[in-house]
Amino acid sequence: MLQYDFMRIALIVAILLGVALPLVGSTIVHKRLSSSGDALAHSSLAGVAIGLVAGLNPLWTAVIACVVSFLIIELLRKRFSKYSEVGIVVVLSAAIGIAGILSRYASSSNFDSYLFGSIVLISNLELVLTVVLTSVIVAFTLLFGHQIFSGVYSENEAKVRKVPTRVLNFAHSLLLSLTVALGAKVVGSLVISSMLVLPMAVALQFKKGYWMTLLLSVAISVATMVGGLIASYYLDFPPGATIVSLAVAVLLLSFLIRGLMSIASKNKAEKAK
Amino acid sequence: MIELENVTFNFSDKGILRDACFHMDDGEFIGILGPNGGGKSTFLNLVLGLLKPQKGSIKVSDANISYISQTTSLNDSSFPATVEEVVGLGLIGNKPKLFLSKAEKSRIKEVLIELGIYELRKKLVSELSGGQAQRVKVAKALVNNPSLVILDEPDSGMDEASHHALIHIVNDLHKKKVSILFVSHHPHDLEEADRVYFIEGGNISEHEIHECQEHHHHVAI
Repeated sequence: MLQYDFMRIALIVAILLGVALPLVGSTIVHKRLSSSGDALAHSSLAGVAIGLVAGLNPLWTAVIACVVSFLIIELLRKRFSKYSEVGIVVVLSAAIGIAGILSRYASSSNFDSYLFGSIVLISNLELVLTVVLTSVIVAFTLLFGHQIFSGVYSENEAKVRKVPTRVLNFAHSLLLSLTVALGAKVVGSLVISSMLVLPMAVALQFKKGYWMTLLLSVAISVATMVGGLIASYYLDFPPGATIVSLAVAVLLLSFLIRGLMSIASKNKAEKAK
Repeated sequence: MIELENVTFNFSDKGILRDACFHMDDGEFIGILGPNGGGKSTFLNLVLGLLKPQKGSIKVSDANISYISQTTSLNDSSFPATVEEVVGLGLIGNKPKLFLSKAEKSRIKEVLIELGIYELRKKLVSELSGGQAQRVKVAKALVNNPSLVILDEPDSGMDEASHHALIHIVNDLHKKKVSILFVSHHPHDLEEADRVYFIEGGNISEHEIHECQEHHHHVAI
């Protein structure tokens, strides 16, 4: 497998995205905004359709579409402050509508590569962008991690302590939009939002603290991205779909482990009595 | 330390406060009483800078403010964070921080011991009882040695013993010249307060504590 250049590059990108996705995804999980990843993924698809129809680089139009969508979601969240999910649904619906209509005029092979991903067909530009974006996300998490944690735990209390929550929220959402746009090209827009959430959902089953949960989610994400890619190579399955199916299988396994652990601890407590 | 001059705020969904005047000096212990929906939370949100007044001015001196909020946050019921991680959040401010220093870690330990929750430090906040969770909130508020502590009905979900311990801590802080702004629905929590304000129907007025006790009793009936 490693004798092929495209597989070596695909593995590097899988590891990098495996690190980046839960780092930006954990915040939306904690804020109960997991579906915003879905809205952004569909927006990236609308951006791709616009790019293909207009003859522009679809990667850039996907990035722009994600950033614009995020701004609209934020605007609508403020407009419907008590029904914050309304903004997500509006953007999701609009994105599906635009992507659906424009896909008729775009080359279907190109459009499908964004729909289902093409991790084994990564260009040099995409590789460089993935390296840069992941480095920025890791640096952002290390430098502002405590402040992000503070804002996620209680935004009002963080504001009182002068944590720059607005700037950090904006920077985080920008990084999230860029990750979704780039990740959609690699693993597919249909599965990218799942990979933002699933590793965190698995890590949450182990009931650890904030930092340990984040580290666990990164480890699970890298393992499922790499494992899914290798499995897809040997089984001749589509990489994006294999990665996300493996992540779901790991989540189900974590439910089982968690259940067995709680039964064991109950038995131990009863024996102690 | 805090000065409100003719402050008006009126949004049906965010609360109401009419032409409010209020002042608080360094080292004072001010109590706030009033019925639910009377404007207490609006007043606090304005003081904390979470709401902007439509009219009037608010001045809050550059104090090290700690805030203990009314309810255990939505996140407390499921958030994956240990007691010591949450208490450490009290040390996070406007400057980015890669790691907590040795001195900050020992301050966290000190405050956990002071509040009798050191043994719980590795537990998740979601696994604590209501009283324990509120002690964690108090620890988070005290960990950065604040000069002003703002409490918004912090006894929600607290058992009797934790409630008494909290009042004891508040009174102790006041003796150490820490300013206290305490919103409560129990007049007896505010017996050591220097002054007490009553907020009802968006109007704020200063009262003697016994007048508030009588009014509170009347409102409760």
